[in-house]
Amino acid sequence: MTIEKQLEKLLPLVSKPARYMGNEYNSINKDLNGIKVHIALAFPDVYEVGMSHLGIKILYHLLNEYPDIYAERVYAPWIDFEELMRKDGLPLFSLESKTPISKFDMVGFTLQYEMSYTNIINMLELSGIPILSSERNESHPFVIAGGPCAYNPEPLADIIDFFIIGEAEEAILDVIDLYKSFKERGESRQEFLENVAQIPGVYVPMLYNVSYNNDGTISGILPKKDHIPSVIQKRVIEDLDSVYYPTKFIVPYIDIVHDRAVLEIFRGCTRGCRFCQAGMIYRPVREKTVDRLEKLAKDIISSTGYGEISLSSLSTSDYSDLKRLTQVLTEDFRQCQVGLSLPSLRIDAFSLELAKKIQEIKKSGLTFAPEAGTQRLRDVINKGVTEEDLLSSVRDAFALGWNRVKLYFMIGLPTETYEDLKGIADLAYAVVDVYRQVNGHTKGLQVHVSTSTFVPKPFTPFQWESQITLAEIDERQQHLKKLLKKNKNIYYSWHNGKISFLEAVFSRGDRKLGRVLKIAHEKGCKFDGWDEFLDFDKWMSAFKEAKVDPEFYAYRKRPETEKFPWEIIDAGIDKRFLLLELEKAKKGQTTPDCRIRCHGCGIRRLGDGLCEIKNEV
Amino acid sequence: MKLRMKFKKEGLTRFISHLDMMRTFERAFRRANLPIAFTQGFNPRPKITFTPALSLGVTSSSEYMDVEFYEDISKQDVVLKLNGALPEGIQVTDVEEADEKLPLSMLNCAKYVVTVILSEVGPEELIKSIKILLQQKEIIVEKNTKSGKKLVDIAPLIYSIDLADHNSDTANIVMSISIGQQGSVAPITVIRELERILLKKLEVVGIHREEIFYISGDKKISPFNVEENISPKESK
Repeated sequence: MTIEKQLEKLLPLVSKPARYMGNEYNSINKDLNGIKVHIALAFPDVYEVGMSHLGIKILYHLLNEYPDIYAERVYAPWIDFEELMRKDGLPLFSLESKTPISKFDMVGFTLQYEMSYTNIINMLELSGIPILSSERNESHPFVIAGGPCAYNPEPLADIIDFFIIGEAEEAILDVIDLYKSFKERGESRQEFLENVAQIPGVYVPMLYNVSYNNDGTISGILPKKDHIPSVIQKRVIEDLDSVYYPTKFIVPYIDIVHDRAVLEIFRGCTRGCRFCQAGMIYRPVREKTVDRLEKLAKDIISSTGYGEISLSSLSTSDYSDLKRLTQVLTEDFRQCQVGLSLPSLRIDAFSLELAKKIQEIKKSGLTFAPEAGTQRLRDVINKGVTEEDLLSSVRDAFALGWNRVKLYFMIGLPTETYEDLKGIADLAYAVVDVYRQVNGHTKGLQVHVSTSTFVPKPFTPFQWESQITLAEIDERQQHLKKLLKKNKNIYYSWHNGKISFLEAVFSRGDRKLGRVLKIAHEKGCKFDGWDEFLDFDKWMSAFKEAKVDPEFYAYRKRPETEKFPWEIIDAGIDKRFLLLELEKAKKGQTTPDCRIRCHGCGIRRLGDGLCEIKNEV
Repeated sequence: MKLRMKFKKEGLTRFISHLDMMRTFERAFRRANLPIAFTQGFNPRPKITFTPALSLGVTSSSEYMDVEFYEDISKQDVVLKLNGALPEGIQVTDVEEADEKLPLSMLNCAKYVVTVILSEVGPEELIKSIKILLQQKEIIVEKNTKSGKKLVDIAPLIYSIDLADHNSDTANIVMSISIGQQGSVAPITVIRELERILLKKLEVVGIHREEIFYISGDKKISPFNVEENISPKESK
């Protein structure tokens, strides 16, 4: 029975069959006969999440511009469909041509969060591809990976054949060019891996030996052969304004997480928040011009028909010409009823004015992310927001008619005390007071306070720091709950601490964790980032069986001299700079936005004129 | 200007829910750059009305929608442009001006073709079971509603059931059943009732909505008929 026939039989039995049928508007069909390189772009989560991810969309359309390359999509099947697939012997297949994944030349996973790692293993198993890189041979696809979590590739070193570090638009084409000649010459898998390792930005873990100290820390990750690079520098697109950007985005039938057109306005961030990995690894800031963005926006709307376009970046308010951009776009789209949405906006007088005009943010309420409850701790993490900033923005918002506010905080940040937790509650109460001052009552007001637990990440100034223990997480959450329950306008919610703990383990983990992942998968762990599926006991027994202590990774404060697993990667940020930032954090000293002054983070090493920031120190 | 369009929903698009299909049309109209009218207010919606929802997994050659435009356009132009902007499987097949036609909300009957596999059940047996079912004064089934399970009599909702044709492998059961506001029954529910009489499973391989119309006594009006004496007030 063909996969199509099997599908016709199974689709009526599953929830949201559109997840598996493909055929969406703008999805790309090609004749397989003319294809030299067939690549499956895999997102290790359910369709609605994966289809919302911009990186995969860019690569999908970029690769399909080439007539001899065919890029197709695959997502993690939901629990109900997976069960039917296993029962019916249906292998994991691509959405476009319904080809079994095992028949592709390459399968590329994007690593957006650590909790998707077991889904990668599960998808490989459902494809019939051996889980371990060492067990694959010439008949199997190359399993590759990229994305933010690839900046510490080590936990997946046994599973992924090679990683592409950094922005992949150019690197992936280099890899594919090499693959074509490899295929023509009929070389061995090993030969290809040794050659691909020489492309800048490519890391082939099996070509490196890892040695450990007696205390379990790394003493070195060294290439096995001379011609293999000893450190892998991330790839960066120099001219973002002219880089390929798709306009014929696939338009899904079902409602996905971000169901709108996406316009990427810049990459990088100049704020320098010390907990934020994205703010470090996506440096430097590179903007697209208003003219280019306007043209892209018009093309995207006319080829997708979306009723909403979102301006995407790490900090949309920092776009240097935001006022003109939003004016131009609102003008262009007035007639055809296309709304603008501006996520990651810093809430100030200007953005409120903007929000009022475009009416988008009103529906969902306003979101503020002070991240920490006191000025002292906000200075430690270099979050340049003051209580006055927040309260005056909130005051403006209430005066303009808003009555729902979300406040995001982290608990367990380095140096946090109960004084800082009290600060979170004080801020929430202060927001209620402001509402009362503006409106004379608190009827209809909702202040949603949400906390997540701080996870120390590689390539941030806090990469040396420890995470608070599970018991402490629980205590601090309970404490906040008590502080916040006295007011009926305040609603408190918190992220599952166990998920944050596992994230902390894998984000700074090493190769030894590969075994844990494999065992956890065998025990049935999947969709671990979904609260309802996380089975923490299974994870703990997987650590035990693999003889790996998770606390070694999550709780241990690292000495400055320690060699980290991720130092095989050069993210463009100097360790010296990160240490300096850590020192300043401990002293409560802030570092201004690097648009004001260059702090010498090291990114200029990657290319002359790459960083737009002038006046270097 | 308001146009009534007839469209089909075939192939894999049968797995698209009614809500998702409405969104698909909204986007297709924007891609086609057609001057469609929007509602006023805080959250403007396109002015499109559809025939009653099709169940997930059911194909149709007889769906209708009324679409309002803020300026006059040629009917041919609309079809050409819209079909160019629709995903494979959804296609407009006919268009007329909507004025002076029956409101879509009055449509109350749909004709379905249900294809079943003839392995355990022979055609004679099937004909017999249909006859028995139609003779029942009452057919009580359990229906899932928002407020929980409810018992409903579907006998008054069935207009006719016939075994239209068959070969050695499959048979086509044609049924005209009630849709819309006054009560509706899904074709698969009727098939389940036949199974109860047969005491055997019927393997359904396809359900297709072939026609949709307004029925009252002997009168049968299709959405494209201009029927002057059938305005909502006069038709009782």
